[in-house]
Amino acid sequence: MELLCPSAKRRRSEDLAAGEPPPRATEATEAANLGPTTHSEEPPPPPDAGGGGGGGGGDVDRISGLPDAVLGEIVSLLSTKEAGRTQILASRWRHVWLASPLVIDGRDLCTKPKGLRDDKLFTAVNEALASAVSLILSAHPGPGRRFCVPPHYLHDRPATVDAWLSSPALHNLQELDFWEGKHMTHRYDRPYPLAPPPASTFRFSATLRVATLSKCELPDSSVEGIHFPHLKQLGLENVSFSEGSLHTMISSCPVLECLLLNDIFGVGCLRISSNTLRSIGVGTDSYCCRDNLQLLQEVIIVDAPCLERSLCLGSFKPTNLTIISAPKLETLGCLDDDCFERTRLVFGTIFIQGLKVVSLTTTLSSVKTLAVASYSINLDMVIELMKCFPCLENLYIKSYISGEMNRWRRKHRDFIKSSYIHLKKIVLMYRGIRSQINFASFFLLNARELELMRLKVGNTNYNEAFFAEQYGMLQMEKRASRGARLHFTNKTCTHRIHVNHVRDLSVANPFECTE
Amino acid sequence: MSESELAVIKPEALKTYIWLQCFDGSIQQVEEEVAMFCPMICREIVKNGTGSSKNHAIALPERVNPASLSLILDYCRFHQVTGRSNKERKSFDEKFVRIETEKLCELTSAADSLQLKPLVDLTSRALARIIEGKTPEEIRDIFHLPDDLTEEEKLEPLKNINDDPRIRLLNRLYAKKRKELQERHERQKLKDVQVQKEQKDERSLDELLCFINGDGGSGGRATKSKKKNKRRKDHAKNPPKADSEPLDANPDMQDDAEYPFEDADLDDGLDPAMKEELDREVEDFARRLNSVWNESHIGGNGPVQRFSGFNHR
Repeated sequence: MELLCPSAKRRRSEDLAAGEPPPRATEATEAANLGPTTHSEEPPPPPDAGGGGGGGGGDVDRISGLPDAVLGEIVSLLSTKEAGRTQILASRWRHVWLASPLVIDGRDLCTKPKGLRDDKLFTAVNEALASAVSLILSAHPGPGRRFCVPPHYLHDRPATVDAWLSSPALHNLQELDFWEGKHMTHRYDRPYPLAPPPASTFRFSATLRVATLSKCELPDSSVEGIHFPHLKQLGLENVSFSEGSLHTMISSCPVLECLLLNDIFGVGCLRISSNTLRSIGVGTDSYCCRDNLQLLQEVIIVDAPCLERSLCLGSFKPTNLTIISAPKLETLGCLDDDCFERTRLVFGTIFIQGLKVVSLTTTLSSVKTLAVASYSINLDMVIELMKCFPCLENLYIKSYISGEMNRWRRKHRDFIKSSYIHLKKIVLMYRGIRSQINFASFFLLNARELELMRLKVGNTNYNEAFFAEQYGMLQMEKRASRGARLHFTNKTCTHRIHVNHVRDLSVANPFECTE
Repeated sequence: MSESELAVIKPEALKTYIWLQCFDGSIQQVEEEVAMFCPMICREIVKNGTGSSKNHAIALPERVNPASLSLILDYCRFHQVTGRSNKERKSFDEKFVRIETEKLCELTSAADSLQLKPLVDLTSRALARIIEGKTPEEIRDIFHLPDDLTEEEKLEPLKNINDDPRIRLLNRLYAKKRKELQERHERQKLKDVQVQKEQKDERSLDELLCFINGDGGSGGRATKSKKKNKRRKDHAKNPPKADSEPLDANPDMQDDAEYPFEDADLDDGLDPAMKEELDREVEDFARRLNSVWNESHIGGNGPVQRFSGFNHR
């Protein structure tokens, strides 16, 4: 422990020597009554020594007394910048960062300006970020907790990345992300050829819990013989595999719970059997097209006894999904019919193309939450889907309903008589046009368990007069469920699904806007 | 409560109670299943057999004061019940840590000495949230930390970073860009109202067209979530100023005192929600173009309608 400056007062010297502060109880009573509490004989601190920690009785530093391990944990929860900054807080804190597990998140270190088109600035940002990462790695002894840098570094500066990953500061790394989040730059650039990541990437295979690999190639030689005994969350974005290597990779993760597959090349069809998988997200993105490589467009879940969520992350090209056995599947979406070749979904005997139910023999009663989006969504479509998932409780309509009138009284009379609608929550975008009124009132008047209907309205309609008017138009006084509430909101986030990182796959409901 | 009252056995005390003693001498009684939730207490009961009576109360570590103990027992009491959903537990946890910072620190300390890891994690996260985003002065103020480092010591960790030429170049470029945008912002403010109106008009026109064509839904900009950002529509912006200003070193370095990278709020002057909308519109448009392009390439199997521009059935 280093020598404290004479101005460091109160019981700090004793604290550090003993390792624990004296009993709080006595100190609390003393502080309340007497004024500055000092167990040492030294005079109270000079006025300029405390940046706010002045001579008042109640102003006792209670955090610095925590053991190193706990302070280290707190610091490792901070963003990279803040964590490094704790070194200058006070003498007690000077070495906490160095002793805590290292977290380097490139996004924390410098915010890349949005819509970056200034090449000079782009280069400067990346150069500076690379410098900063190198400096931090050379300053910190390790161990490493998390390391996140942009994926294009694998292509732009592979030797540097190799050096970083080999550094002792990243020893026992738990989370490795080649990932950039929302601010990916140079979107419209031609995709560069993918190459295998440096071998040092797999140095942490024994300790990794979360990993995102993007913009690289993983042939058989890269993944052979590697095991990830603790990897629970794996994200693969814009990665090229060989026919067998994707399967090998997934099989080498015995405790995998979340799997994110976005723009996977080199494999046409993936079969998955996993006892631990809980959540899977699959998608394709128009901006990552590679004409010379086969795109993953078929996922077959053969046996996944723990699978709870199957999510579609975006369908430039459809990713057909077949689920043979997933008895706990609860959350599905966002189904869409964006692409010309409609996405094909097969759940046992249920066959859905885009949003149209083509055939249905046995229903899937485990599904409780469903999200749908389409340029031409209507009530008939939704009712057909409800027939497939009779126990549906939450329904998210992620596009505006318009066009068809959605008249239902005569058309769906039989359905209303024969089926019990279990829906509890419905969220839709609303303007008050006739087709939407008919759609919404179908549920308000027939869903006897309904608890909440959330209507997302624009700012012009966000006023009491509109709400009152709609209350009448939607015939709320005749609602089937007395407990049903109408909730208007002007927070119109049009994201269909809130999944940016594989970590988000563990969120129970990715369709809720949490901002 | 006097000691004799405590000793009276009430009907519901078919439950076993455990006795805990804080460092200051005060003794507390708690249901056994609640106390067992703490590993340290659990060990004492099982290994040493203490805690079963007042005279053999378990001596708790120094760092556990009565106030913290009472909070900890509340925590244990809630979480040891098995039937609760994750949502309930999370909700409880969120409310539980909404206490004064001082008490939070004491609670962390107490939980740590009782080896109650879930609570230590919870309180650590809460403390991290308090620290995040604040200047060192603010942090010292909140936690009453002594400002006992010399100026040299404060600059030392940052010295290497600030000396790096690439980082200095970046800061200079950021400063320049900020100036550009500042000027653009002034000009944009005047045009803002007009731009907003333009956006609205455009959208309703689009809807009208679709409506006329008899199809449902471009009324809503329903789009997918994207992790990547897109280019904005050009009409909403002025072109950036030419790169003619000289780079000057000194004024830009002033703000580097605390940390090298400044949060360059390189905003285009457009409201962020608007920006996202624009981005998505562009993406949508591109996607539609792509699908039309693909169809005409393949020779298309679908109905003829599909080939007509935006209409999407």
